[in-house]
Parts: sequence; C-alpha cells; structure tokens
Amino acid sequence: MSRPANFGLEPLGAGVGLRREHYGEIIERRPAVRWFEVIPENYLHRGGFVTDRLRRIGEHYRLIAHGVSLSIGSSDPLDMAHLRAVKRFCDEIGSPWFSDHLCFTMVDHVNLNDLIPLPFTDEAVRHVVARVKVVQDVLERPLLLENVTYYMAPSRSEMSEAEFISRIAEEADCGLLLDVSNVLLNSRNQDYDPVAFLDSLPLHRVGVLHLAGFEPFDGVWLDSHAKPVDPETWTLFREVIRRIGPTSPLVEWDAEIPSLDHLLHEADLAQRIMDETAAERTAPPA
Amino acid sequence: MALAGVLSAIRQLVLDGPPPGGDAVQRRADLAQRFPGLAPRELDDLAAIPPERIRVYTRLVFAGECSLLEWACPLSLAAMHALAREAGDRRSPRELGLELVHRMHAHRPWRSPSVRELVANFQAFVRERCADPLARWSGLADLVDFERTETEVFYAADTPLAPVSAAQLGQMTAMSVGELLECRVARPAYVALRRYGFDVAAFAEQYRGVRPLPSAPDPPSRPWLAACGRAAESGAPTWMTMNGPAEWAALSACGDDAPVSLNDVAAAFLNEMIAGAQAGASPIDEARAFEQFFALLARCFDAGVLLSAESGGR
Repeated sequence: MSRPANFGLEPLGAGVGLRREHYGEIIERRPAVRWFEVIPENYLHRGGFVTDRLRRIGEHYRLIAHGVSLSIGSSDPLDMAHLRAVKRFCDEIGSPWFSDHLCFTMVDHVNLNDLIPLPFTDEAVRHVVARVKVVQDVLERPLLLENVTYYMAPSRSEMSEAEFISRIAEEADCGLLLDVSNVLLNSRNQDYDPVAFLDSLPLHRVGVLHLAGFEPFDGVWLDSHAKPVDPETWTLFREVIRRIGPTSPLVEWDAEIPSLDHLLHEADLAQRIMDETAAERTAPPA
Repeated sequence: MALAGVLSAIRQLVLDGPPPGGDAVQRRADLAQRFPGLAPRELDDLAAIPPERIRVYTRLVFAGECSLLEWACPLSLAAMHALAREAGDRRSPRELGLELVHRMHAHRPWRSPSVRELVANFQAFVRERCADPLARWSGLADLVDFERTETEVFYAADTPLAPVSAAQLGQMTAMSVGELLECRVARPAYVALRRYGFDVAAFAEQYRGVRPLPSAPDPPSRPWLAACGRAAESGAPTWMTMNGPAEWAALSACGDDAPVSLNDVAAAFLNEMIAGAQAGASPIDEARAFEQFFALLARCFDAGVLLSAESGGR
C-alpha cells in the first residue's frame, strides 16, 4: 500500500513564525507570506492587543497552530482544559493540524518552561503513544510531534533517538514535525551522522519542517533561535527535501528578532531551495 | 521505578543542580541516595549524564524565567537592583535577577505556562521574601503591583462590550443632560482601580528604558488614585489618574462588566462630593460638578476604563 507523502497534509510552501514584533508591519504592509505559524499559548484565555492583532492578520493569512506546553511526555495527567482550549483555537484560526514537541515541560505540576528530553525507553514510548491518541481524539485533527534539541540524554540504553521517535509516530499513528536544525544540533552535540538519522525516520510522516539558527553556549550547540539559519542546516534541508519532496518548511526566530524583511528573506530562500531540490528530484535522469 | 520517578528526578536535578561531581560511579552513589526509588538501570542512565549537560538546562530554565520577568516587570527588577546596589551588592542586574528567580522558584514553583501566574508569583515572593528591599523603599510594593496590574490588564480576556466610538461620543455631546444620563456604560472586569503611595505612572514614564536606575528611588510622595484600562486602538494598558474621592466613588459604582446608567455613576460622584463638602471642604457648585463629571467620562472612555453598554458600539 502506498503511503501518502507529507503525512497526507497539504504542502503549504515556506512560512514564518508569527511574532508580536511584526504585527504592525504585517497588518500595514501585508507582505506575501504563504503561512504563519502561531503559538496558541500566546493567545489562549487572552484578549486585547494580541488577540485583536491575530484576528486582523488571520483575515489575510493562513495560520497554523504550534504549541509549546502540551508536555506530551509528562507523567502529570494531560491538561484536558488546555487541550480543549487548543482545539477551540485551532477551530477558530482554521488550523488543519496541530504540532507540539516530543518532550516534557511540566512534571510534578511544576512548569520548567523548557523542552526537556524524555528517556528513550519502551515505557516512555507506550506512555506517549497513549497520550497522543487522546490528544488527537480531543483535537479532532492530526498531531505532529517535533523532535527536540537535547543537551542530555536521560536514557538511551534501550533504544536510539531515531527509534524512539519512529516507534511513537508509527504506534500512535501521528505525524512528525521535523526540525532540521535540531537534527543538525543533536548530531553535533550527541555525535552522530545527521543524514543516517534522517534515513532511519519514517519520513512519510513528516508534514512540516522547522529551520532556525543556533549558536555555541557552555560547551554545546544551543538551539537559540536567535541567529540566521546555518549554512549546514540548509545543506541538510536539501537532503530532507530530496527524500520527502515539497512540504511546509518554516523559519523560526524567537530571540533578538530581526526585521520582518530579514525573516521573509530566509523563508524565500527556503522556498527557492525546496523548489530547486524538488525539481531535481522529479526530473528524469539526463 | 516508573517513568514518573525518572522525570521527577530530572526535574530536581535541573532545578536543584546535579550531583556535585566525581566520576560516574560517585555520581551514581549520590543519585541512589537522593532518589532511593529509582531502579538500578535508571540510576545508571542518570549517572551517565555529564553534570555540565544538566547545568545547561538549569541555566536555560532560570534564564528563560528571568527574561520573562524582565519583560513583564522591568522597573521592579531595576528598582530592586538599585536598592541592592545601595546596600553594597555589586552584582549585575542579570545576576541579581537570576538569583531572585532561583529563590522565587523554590518559594513558589511556577505551576502553569502562564506569564500571569509567574508575575503573580513574583509579587507574592517580593511581599513574603524580600523584606530588605521593601524596608529600604516603601514604594517597591506599589511598583510591583503596578507592573502586575499592567500584565493582568494586557492579557485579560476580552469583554463583549465595545469601546465608546467617536460617533457615539459625538451623539452624546449633542444630547440633553437628561438623555445623556440615561446612557449605559460598564467597567470591564479587567479594569483595575488602585490606590498607590505615589504616582507610579509618572515614575514609570521617567524610568522606562533606563537600566540600571541611576540611583535608588525617592520615597513615596503623595497618594495616587488611578484606574488601569485598555486603550481602544492599541489595546495597551493605559493608566488614568483619578482626581479625588468623588471620581473613585463614581468608578467604584460601576460593577465588573455590569451595565449601569450614567445617572447612577453621576449619583455616586455627586454624593461623594456632597459628603466631602459636608466634611468641611468648600460647598459644591453643581454646574462645575457636572463639568467635572463629564470630563471624567471623557477620560474614562479614552483610557478604556468605561465601555459602552449600548448597542452600536465600535
């Protein structure tokens, strides 16, 4: 049986993360942007400035929800009120899917406000798989889990990171948001081959890609989202596109946020690389 | 032990710090003592993590919280730094901020991803655990409350009520006093009425963007009554000074989100004026009192402190 590419999701082309610093310019200039990724936590249970601007931007642009606090791997119970709020938000903005991170951010009811890696164990796989099913049922749309950067591996004695991700995606029947920069960062921090890593994932489940900048910090490569996309990430991005074809890559920038034009320039570059690589992929051999 | 125990141990290692050092064998022994419920293989796995890699997360978690507080409460942190410097503390604003966040997390752990909760925790932490800076400057509590109020107003959910539109204002201006007093308004639940020991908005205006503060702040001068609403166009928190107890009484007469006629608001305003007059102030001039009342309304509409409860708002 053939498996649909892109996890059956519509490839949207290159988009950018919506950030508060750019609201005014987006509303006034209305630049050409294929889609914006929005973080529900910045809007849930809120009103005033942020929700007004999101509504005005949503009148002209495609918006896709990407969460940061699902805490899918936590041993705390799933926050059903939060999930229902995320569903309402996705419905309101017309987000056909929802993505969040394969990690935990809260445990013992304490918020760590960071993406903490899970142990790569069979127990964690079963735990996450069960929760993904609940999440997809509540959200009534596909969930895409993002591979996170990890500076420490709580356990890899049972399986590798790639096996951990693959088993969860296959057993829960969910999609993947492949953060290409995270693959590169992890390959440097954990010393593995990023292309071999790609080849060990169920890439047909990848529906969205993330691209972001990183920098050295305290002896590791840090996923700072404060720098331009690294040249090596662009190279790896080509490798991904060669394997999966046109998709929905997204440029993220969360600190030291540059001008909107700078961000759009990076998104245009992603689109160009994707178009070129996808064309090579489909062209008949010379 | 199950996954829950491992995740809990990771949380504690990140927040409280990894074992002090030594090789993996020593670390494993330390971990076994600290987390007696973990299975041998779980202890092996945790002991295999280099402590410096755990400390990367420690720094990221606290730096992230510190950045959020610097965004939400910049003046409070700047004032606390100035007060600490006055007491001989030579640390940078960031170093002091990180230390505060560490202590705050231990005292009041952050239980949700909400910035509102973080800022509420900060206010409680200052009140309960920062006796020294509070004793050095009695305005600190007001400043922290001011910034927390702005955070609350900024994030609060919308009300179904609409700002008073320019067209409505024009219509109101053309009405007779009787017609005008029949109009209905409401104070959104997120609007905050505050009594502070000094004009915190003026202080904020003076020092926004100044880091670090050039000196420790002056002592509070005279009480300031204010309301914080949301500007109609920008949605930004906007402070409005209340000129005396009559204005306070008028706005207090407006219940949260509950429509009230301007007649009721005016009655509260005038009653307080009469009470003030009877208490020894100069007798009230009714025409002048109405002028003051309508001027108050215009300021309230402008600052989003009162919204229209009539249909046909913006």
